[in-house]
Amino acid sequence: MQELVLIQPGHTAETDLQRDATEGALRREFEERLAECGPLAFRVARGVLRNTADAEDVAQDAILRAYRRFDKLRDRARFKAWLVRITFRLALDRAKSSNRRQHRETSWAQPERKPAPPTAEDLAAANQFRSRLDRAVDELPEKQRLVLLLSAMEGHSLEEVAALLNIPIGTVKSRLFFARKQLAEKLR
Amino acid sequence: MTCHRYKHALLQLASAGVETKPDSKLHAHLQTCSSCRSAFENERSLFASIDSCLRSSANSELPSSFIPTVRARFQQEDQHEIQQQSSTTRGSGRLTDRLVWASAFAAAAILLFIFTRLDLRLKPQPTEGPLVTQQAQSPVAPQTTATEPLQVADPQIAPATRKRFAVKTATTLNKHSVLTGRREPEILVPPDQEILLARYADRWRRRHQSPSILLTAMEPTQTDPLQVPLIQIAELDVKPLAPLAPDQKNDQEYDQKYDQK
Repeated sequence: MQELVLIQPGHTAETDLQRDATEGALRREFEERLAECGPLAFRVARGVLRNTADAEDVAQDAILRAYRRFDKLRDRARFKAWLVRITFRLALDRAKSSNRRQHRETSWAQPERKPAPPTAEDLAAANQFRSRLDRAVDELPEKQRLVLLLSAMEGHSLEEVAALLNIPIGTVKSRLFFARKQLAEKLR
Repeated sequence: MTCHRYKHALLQLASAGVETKPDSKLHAHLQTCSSCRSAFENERSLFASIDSCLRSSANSELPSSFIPTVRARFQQEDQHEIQQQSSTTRGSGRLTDRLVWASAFAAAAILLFIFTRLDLRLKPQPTEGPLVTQQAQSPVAPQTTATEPLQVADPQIAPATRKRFAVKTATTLNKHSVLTGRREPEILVPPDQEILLARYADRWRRRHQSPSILLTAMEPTQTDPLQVPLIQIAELDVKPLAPLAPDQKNDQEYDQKYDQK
């Protein structure tokens, strides 16, 4: 009995099979990289947003965006840096939009909101320093902020950060130094 | 060496971390200057707390549901792409079918129009009524008798003026032909009065919105000799209506004198 195959006009079975095989290989390669780079994307987003749920959402969006355009990436060795940049940009956008929303929702209720003067109890609280540090990190320039975030992650030396961001190691050192100096000045 | 000169070096040393050892001069100054030593310790503790906070926030644990959720979203994305591709293919097929049907209908309409026009051209036109332009033989229209009612016809105008009055006569007289029940009515017109008659008929129709008496069919009873009753007129009494002119006054005086004589 003859086997019939339904083929779209303008296509052949061989080209379809080749295309399927290419897509399958790309999919497998991406999944291998996902296991390696997924936690990194989540941590970058978590470092910017400081919220686990938002960070998970943003990291998933970033990975999905990278998956859609994975076949257009010319240098596959740069995938990690590419994903980090996508995640960092998306996290910054999410943080800005959430800040705007929060400001919009609270400004009408508290038109003249002023920060309460810190008391001794507040200063003694453990989370006071963290909140001040978070505000100070938010005010850092984006380049310094990304370097600070990546260097704070475990397993990332300065050389690795330089390779990840494709910048010289001296630039990484200077950005890290000025970022910490600004943080210290604001936290003193 | 004053404390001010060590300030930048102390800051660099504090930010570098615990592992970094100070150089000999700075180490000697820290041994001698208690204020610089306390400031250095404060800076170092500040940077240590910053680093610990950053590390704790940057190295948070990945949720266990993260990778499965991402894989599920991949599958959704693939299915969505497949659906989009199939809908695009289907949509393009529908569009092609519609275009084919629309062009077929347009071609059929054009062909029908062309055949209709050809049929009209090939069909022999009904012969027009007898031309009355050559009325030189009898310049006056034949007198109608009681037995021959006035016949109504399309005004057959000379070729030069035919186009100009064709529409007008067609709209006016053809209606009357319908009223008279004749398909091709006729009017016998002297050759020099064709245009005038056509204009007159048109004006008459416009003014009265009714068929001209010339164009209506006359019933046999209407063709009987006209019977007019006798009219009795009383004696006329003529009187001057206006004062007399000087000449007329002279005439009146003369008449009076003549009467007296």
